[in-house]
Amino acid sequence: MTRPLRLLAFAASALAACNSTISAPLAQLVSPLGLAITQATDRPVLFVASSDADELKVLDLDTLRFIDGPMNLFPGSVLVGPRPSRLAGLSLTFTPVAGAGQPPQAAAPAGAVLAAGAHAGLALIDAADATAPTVVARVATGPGASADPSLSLPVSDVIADSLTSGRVRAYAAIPRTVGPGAISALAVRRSANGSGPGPLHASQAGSCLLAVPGETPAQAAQPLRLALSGDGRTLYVADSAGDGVLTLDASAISADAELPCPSLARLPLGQPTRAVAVAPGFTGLSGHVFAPGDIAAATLADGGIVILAGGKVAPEPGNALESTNAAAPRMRPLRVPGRARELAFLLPGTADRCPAPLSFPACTDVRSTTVGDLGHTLVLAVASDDGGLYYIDADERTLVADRPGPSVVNAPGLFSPGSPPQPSFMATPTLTIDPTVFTQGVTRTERVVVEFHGALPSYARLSGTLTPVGGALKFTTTADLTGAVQPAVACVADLECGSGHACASGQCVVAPGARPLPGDFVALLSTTDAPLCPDLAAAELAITSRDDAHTLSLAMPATLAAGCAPIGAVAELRAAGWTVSGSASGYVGRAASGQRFVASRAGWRFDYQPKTAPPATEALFGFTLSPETPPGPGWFFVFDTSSGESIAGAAPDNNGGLASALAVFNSPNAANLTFVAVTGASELMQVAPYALGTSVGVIYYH
Amino acid sequence: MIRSHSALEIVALALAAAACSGPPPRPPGGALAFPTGLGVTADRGAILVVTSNFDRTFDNGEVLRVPASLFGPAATDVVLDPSALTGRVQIGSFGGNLATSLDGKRAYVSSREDAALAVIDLTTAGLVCLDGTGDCRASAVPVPLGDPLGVSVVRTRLPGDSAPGELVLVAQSSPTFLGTDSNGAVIQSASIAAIGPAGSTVAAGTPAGTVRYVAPIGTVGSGPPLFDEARGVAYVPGCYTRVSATLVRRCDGSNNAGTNLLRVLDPSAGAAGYVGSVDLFNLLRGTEVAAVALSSDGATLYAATRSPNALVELQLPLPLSGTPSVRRVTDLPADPSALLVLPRAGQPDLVAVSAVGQATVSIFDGRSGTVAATVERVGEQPDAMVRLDAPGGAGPARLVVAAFSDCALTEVDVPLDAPWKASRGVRLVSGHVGACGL
Repeated sequence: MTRPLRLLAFAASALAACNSTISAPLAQLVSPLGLAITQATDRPVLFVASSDADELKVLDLDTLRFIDGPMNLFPGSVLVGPRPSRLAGLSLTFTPVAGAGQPPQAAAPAGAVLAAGAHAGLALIDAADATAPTVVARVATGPGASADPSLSLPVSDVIADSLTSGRVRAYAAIPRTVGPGAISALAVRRSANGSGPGPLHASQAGSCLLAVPGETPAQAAQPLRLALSGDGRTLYVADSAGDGVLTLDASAISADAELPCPSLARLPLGQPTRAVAVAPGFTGLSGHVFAPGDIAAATLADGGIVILAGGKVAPEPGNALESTNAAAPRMRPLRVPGRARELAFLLPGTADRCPAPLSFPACTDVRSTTVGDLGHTLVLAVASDDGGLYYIDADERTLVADRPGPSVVNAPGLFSPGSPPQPSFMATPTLTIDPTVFTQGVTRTERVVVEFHGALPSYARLSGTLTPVGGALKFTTTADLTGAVQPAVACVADLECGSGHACASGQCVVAPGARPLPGDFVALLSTTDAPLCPDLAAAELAITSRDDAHTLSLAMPATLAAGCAPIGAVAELRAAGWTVSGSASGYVGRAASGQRFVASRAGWRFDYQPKTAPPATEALFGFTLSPETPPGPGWFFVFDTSSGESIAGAAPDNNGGLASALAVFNSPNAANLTFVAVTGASELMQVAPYALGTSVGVIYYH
Repeated sequence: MIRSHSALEIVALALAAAACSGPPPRPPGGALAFPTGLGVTADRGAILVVTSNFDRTFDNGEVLRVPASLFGPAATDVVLDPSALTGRVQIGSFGGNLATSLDGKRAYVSSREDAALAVIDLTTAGLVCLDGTGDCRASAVPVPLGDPLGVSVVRTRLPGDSAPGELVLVAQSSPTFLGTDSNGAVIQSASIAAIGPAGSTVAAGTPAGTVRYVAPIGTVGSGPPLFDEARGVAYVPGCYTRVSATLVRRCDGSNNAGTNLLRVLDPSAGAAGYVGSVDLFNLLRGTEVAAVALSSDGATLYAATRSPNALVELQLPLPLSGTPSVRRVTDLPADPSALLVLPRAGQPDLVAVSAVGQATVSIFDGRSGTVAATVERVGEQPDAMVRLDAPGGAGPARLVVAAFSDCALTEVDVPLDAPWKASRGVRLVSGHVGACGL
């Protein structure tokens, strides 16, 4: 943002502040991306990458105020180069030099931050003085960059070990244009300068390639996000190009060479990943004690979240998280509103944090908006594309949510077509919801439309030519009608496409030569003027056969003269019975008058019922249509379903989503204070999980 | 004694001054007066620049033919020498996008002031209008829409046509005001006009094409459609809405919360071609798709959104059915405006993104899913982009971006194998004192 625009934005914000919608001091954040917590000499601080302003801002975690700049009018900023995106806090200390005759001094904190951005290498920021952080060095990253800094490459993520000392090891994820990506290991240390902190020293200690033995170049990994086990030894890498997550022995990276990373292994998850997080040690519901790093979690490219236990996807609920039963089915990905991006585990609490009457071995306290305090043994915070923050009980493998249960929100109503549609007062036909087929964690909150003679997806607009040939009317179009019997609805391997159909290339298709379902017909939306031809707009013509991939034979309309020339027409293919679609689920299928319909498809699950194995049948909803039919095409039933889940979390107070980074802060005053950089809303969201639903549960910094 | 002037005297003086100044002049050569659309000649020897005359300094806008030789990798400012231009024609003011015909022999440019589509012959050494003159306003095709801005060329077959042909889609950027309802809320609609071009020449003053149909696309205005020939549809981005009978603005959270429409149009279906829309609001809490582009393999639709500023990669099934699924969302610099795909052999694309709010061009790397570089100082309000070099060459991709508020054209070089080294090249600034307040 240019300086005049920023000043204007500040002025606008100041004016807005007069109306008191801003709940925290001005931060002047512009598309915040990265977050990092470190300890200055006198206080803990949170660095925020204000990416579109090319600067970092600093939040004092003792006072929860952004630290002022020299003028005391604006928050201070650290200029770090173009578009800072990812940050890592370094828990560095220094040991003051003891004076003559004085006892040795204890180590004191003097942290630092590494910043990645739209440039090669990393910026090293000295954060010892929270009021005047300074960029002190640029560190070259990438294979060969130790000897030749011109070989330095951009960094997609950076992370540091959490061991507090005068020497810290950090790791940078390096995507590469050719071949597999790389990991750089960095050594950062601080010396003392008399009684105060001395200068920082940083260099690349080694690098290695994410080249998994036996994999082809097409499977080459590209690192997007990193996570480190609590002991600082095992590095987890979210692979944005290959499959799943990689692990490697980070402590063994010592040489700067184009060699595979030590102990490199891949955990396949069926698709690339966006983020990964490693859990701290905790005691599970069963009393099983998990060591740090036993449990991890990953965000899949499609936004699903899986919990990883024992080096593979955790079993479904109904099995203990530590279960080694190889036959137990693996959990399906959990899904939050929007699509999950970043992950962070909260620090497990102690038994005394379990709200009564719970008696877990230990609890992390998350307050649900409607029910109140809920205890959880291991909680995962999830930032989503929609800007929201959501919590997951990783031990239970469920969303943290209130669950009154799925239901239909309103009685189905019949409407006549038109603009706007009008409610019908006819006694028939009727649609009766079957309340027994809703499935917790599958049924969604959405609007369902059941339309008589509804248009089939992909065939709602067909441009072509009508030509009388013998006793038939041929409709020729450039569109491919091969799949026209069953709509080209996206399918998964276990989706039943219907008799005579198969799931191929993600769509239900039919064998060549198959005919449309009996009763399917073509509705003409418009026709062009042609000699001797009547206006056929709005005509409905039965399909007698599909001649080839682009031609349908239709019943000849009685009004068509024999000498009528070819007619241009726009048509749509309509179902014989009813089409069913949901605002969230898309096209669901066909229903028939006088029959029961159940919408059931694998892959629609987004949550589980705590402590309960999922049912064998997973249905969105079900209903029965009465035998009668409405007066004509386009009449439709509408009803709304509710998932019956109120997910614990927080949403930004502005439009614009993209929650891009998470940082969790623990202190004697606040447990698991969760900070979220909401990039699209240009704000920092501070969430106290133990206080959700209260006035101090969520605070926004703009 | 000092006396005050009467109101009548002031009006008389103003009228006299107006009479002395006369009508606004024709733009002098070298005036890059608020450039909007860009194109490139078939031989890539020159770029075509639409100057919009946005501040009405001159009588009209222009299309200029600027030799590619004026650009280069050095980050210097070069003043456009009028004598260096190899062609220029007049069009109406407030020109919009420029699109070239499928055979590369004609250019189509919209003019919002005239509500018309100018057609320019590119087969001659310089530039000439289709009626052989240097002023394309007489032969421009009247567009039956207010505020025509986006232009796109598609190859399609209309109902009853014996063979596919070329159509020019012209998008209405701001919706038509139809009235207010009983609550005082504005009733509005927007459409896209499809124009069938005439032959290679027309008689003087004869329109260079005919309107084949006008297709309604809903209630909000749009940007330039993007045609997807494999699926036979056009994707329509953009979101402009009326606040009142006269005031139009981009959709934002305050006036259009709850929708973020990416519309889909089947150009072959005539006036009934509006298929529907994809609403990205639930995913992103966002309110506008600003620009779209197709990946080089045709499998992914890149959509740049504002509020939030993001690049959304949508996976497109073939044929298109239902809602395209979102594959990835990546944050972008503020207010992305235009996209340009840079294919790489055997690799996912790079995508250049101009950001009007940041005065930058960023390079998104489809392989790593990150913004690999952000090139600064490209000029205020960078918008349209065009590629100078032919894809497949050995050197870096050479882009030119039009900096609207700076009245400048800036080269950005992108090494395809090292996109983080993208850099700014020559900035060609207006050679006329007067344009853009220079």
